[in-house]
Amino acid sequence: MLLVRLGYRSIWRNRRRTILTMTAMGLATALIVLTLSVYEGMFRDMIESATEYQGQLRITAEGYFEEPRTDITVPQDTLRQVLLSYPDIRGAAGRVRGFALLSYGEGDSSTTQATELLGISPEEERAVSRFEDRIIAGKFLSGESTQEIVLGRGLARSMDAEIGGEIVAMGQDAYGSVAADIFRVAGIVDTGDPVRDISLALVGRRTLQRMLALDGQVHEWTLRLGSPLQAEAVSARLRLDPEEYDVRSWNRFLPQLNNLLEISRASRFFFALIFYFAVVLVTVNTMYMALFERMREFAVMSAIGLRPARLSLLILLEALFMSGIAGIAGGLLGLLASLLLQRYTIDISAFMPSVSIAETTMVPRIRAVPAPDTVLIPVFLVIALGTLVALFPAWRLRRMRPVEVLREV
Amino acid sequence: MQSRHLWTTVVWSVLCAFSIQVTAQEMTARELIRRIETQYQGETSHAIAHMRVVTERWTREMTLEMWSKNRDRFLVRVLAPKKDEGVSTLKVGDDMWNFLPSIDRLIKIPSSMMGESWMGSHLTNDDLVKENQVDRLYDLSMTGGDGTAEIVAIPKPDAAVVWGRIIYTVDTERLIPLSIRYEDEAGELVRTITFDDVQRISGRWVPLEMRVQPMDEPQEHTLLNYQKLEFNVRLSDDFFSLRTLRRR
Repeated sequence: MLLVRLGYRSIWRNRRRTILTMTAMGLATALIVLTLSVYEGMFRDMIESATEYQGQLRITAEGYFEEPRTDITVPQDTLRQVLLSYPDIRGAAGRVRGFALLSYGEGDSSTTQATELLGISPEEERAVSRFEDRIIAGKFLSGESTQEIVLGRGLARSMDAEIGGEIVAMGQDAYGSVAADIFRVAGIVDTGDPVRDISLALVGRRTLQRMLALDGQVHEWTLRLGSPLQAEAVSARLRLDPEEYDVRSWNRFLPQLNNLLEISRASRFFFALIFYFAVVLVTVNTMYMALFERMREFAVMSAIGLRPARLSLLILLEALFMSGIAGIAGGLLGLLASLLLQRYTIDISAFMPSVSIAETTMVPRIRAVPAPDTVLIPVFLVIALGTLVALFPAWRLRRMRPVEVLREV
Repeated sequence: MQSRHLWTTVVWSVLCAFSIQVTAQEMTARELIRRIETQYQGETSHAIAHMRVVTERWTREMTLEMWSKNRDRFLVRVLAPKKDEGVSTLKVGDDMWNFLPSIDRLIKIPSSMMGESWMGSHLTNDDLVKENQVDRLYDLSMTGGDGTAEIVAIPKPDAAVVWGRIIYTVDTERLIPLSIRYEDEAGELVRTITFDDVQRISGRWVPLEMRVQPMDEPQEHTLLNYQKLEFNVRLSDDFFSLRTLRRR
C-alpha cells in the first residue's frame, strides 16, 4: 500500500515529463481506437451494401445453392408465416429466379441478352431490399402479377431498352418446356453495383411463377434481420428441417465478401501492430530517460532500505498508473471521436467513386462504428504494453549499486 | 547458268511435290469434315426427327420438322408436344431467330449464344444450325487408315469458336462419323456425340441416330432420331423467312 501511494505520488513529482508521456500514449490510443472504428465502419458498409439486396439470411431448398435448378423450390405462403413468427426477422421476401433470353426491339436492330429474371413481390421487398428507392427512371413494379419489368441500369443500356418498350423473354419452365412472356419496361434501377445491374431484371413474382409453371413455390426466402451480425445466431435458432431446407447466413452465401472481410481484418490487425509498436517506442524512450534522471533518487531509496524487488515493483506500479490513466483517457477520446464520425460521416465521393468488389460496394464515405473490439482491446493493450515496457528498466535497477551511484553524482 | 537453272527446277519441283502432297491430305480431311458436318443437309433437305432429352429432373420428347438449303438457310419447327407446337428456329446467313407462337414474337439469337443449349436439350444452337463451319474455322490433321480415321480439329488462331479441340472418328469407307469428341480450351472432354442406325439415303450413308452425352452429367443425354430424311427437295430461298415462321 505504501508502494502504491509512493508510486502515485512520484509520477506527479515531475508533472511536465509525466504529462508529456501520458499525452503521447493517450493520443496514440485514441488514434488506434478511431482508426479501428473507421475500419469497422467500412466493413459494416460493405456487409450492408452486399446484404441490402441479397439478404442477410437466405432460405432455399436443400441442394439449390449447389445447383440452382428451376424445379428446386420451397413453399411460398406456409414458409412465410413460419418465418415471420420469429421476432428477429424484420422482413422476408420470397423470390423466384429463372434464366431467360431477353430480347428488345424488332428486326435487325433488336438486341438479345441472356440473364436471370428475378420474380419479386414489391410489397415484401420493401421490408428487405431497397430496389424501389434506387429507381432512377420510370417506376417500380406495381404488383406481383403485372407484365412490367424493371431493368438494371447496365442491362438497360446494353439492350438499348427504354421505358415503355417491350421485352420478350424466353426460357424454360420447371418441366423443360419452352416458357415465354412479354413484358413492358416500367423502370430502370441503379443499385450502386454495376456488376449486379448488368444482369438485373425484376418482374412480378406471380407472373414469373406462371411462366415457369411454379404455382405457390419460390426459390428462396430472403430475410432481413435487425443487424447482419445476427445472421449466424438467427440461423442457428430457426427450426427448419435441415434435410429439406438450406439456411445460409450472408457470410456463407457471399463467400467472396467473407474472404475479403477476413483479409481486411488481418490487414487491420497488422496495421494496429505497427501502431502499438510506435506506442511502445514512445513509452520506452520517455520512461527510460525518466528513470536515468532519477538514479540518485533510487539510490537514496535503496540506501535507506528499499529492497531491489520492491524498487522494481515501484517502477512497474508507476508505469501501470501512467499507462492506465493515459489508456482510459485515450480510449474515451477515441470513442468520442468515433461516435462523432458515426453520427457525422465524411463524404469523400469527390475523391473516389464507389467501388464494386466481391458482390459488394465500397461506399465513398468515412464512417466510424465503434465496437467492443475497436475500443476495449486497444485500451487494454496500451495499459498492458505500457506496463510491460517498464520491466526492462525495472530489471536493470536490481543490479544498481547505490554507493557507486551516490558517489558519482 | 544451265546447271543453276537445273537446280532451281529441281528444288522447285521437290517443294511443289511436297506441298501438293500436304494439300492433298488437307483436302481429304477438309472434304471429309465438310461432308460430315453437312451430312443431314446436302444441297437441300427436309427431315422429321424425334428428339428425346433426358435430364436428372425431367425427360422430354419432341418431334421436330427441319428444312435446310445449302449451308446458310435452316428452319426447324416443333410439331409436338402440343404445348411447344410451332416453336421454331430460323437461320438465314449469319442471323438466327427463335419464334414463339404463344406470344407471337421473335427472339434474335446473337452469335455469342451459339454455344448455348437449344430449347433445353444437350444440343447447342450451333449443333443445330451449323453456324460455325468446322472445315473453315479449324485446322485439321488426319491420322489412321484401314477403314477408320481420326481427324483432329484445332481452331484457327483468330476463329471465335466454342471448342478448344474436336476429335472425329470417321468411317472412311462409308464417309460417316462414328463419334465426335468435344474438348474445351483446357483440353477437358466436355461431351461426346455418337452415331448409329446407318442407312443409305439418296446414294449416301447417313447415321439416323445421334446421341449427345455431356461428360459432367453422366445420367443425362439427348437422343436425336431421324424418322424421315430426304435430300434435294425443292425449296425457294423465300421459304426461309420470318413470314414462313408466322404463317405456319
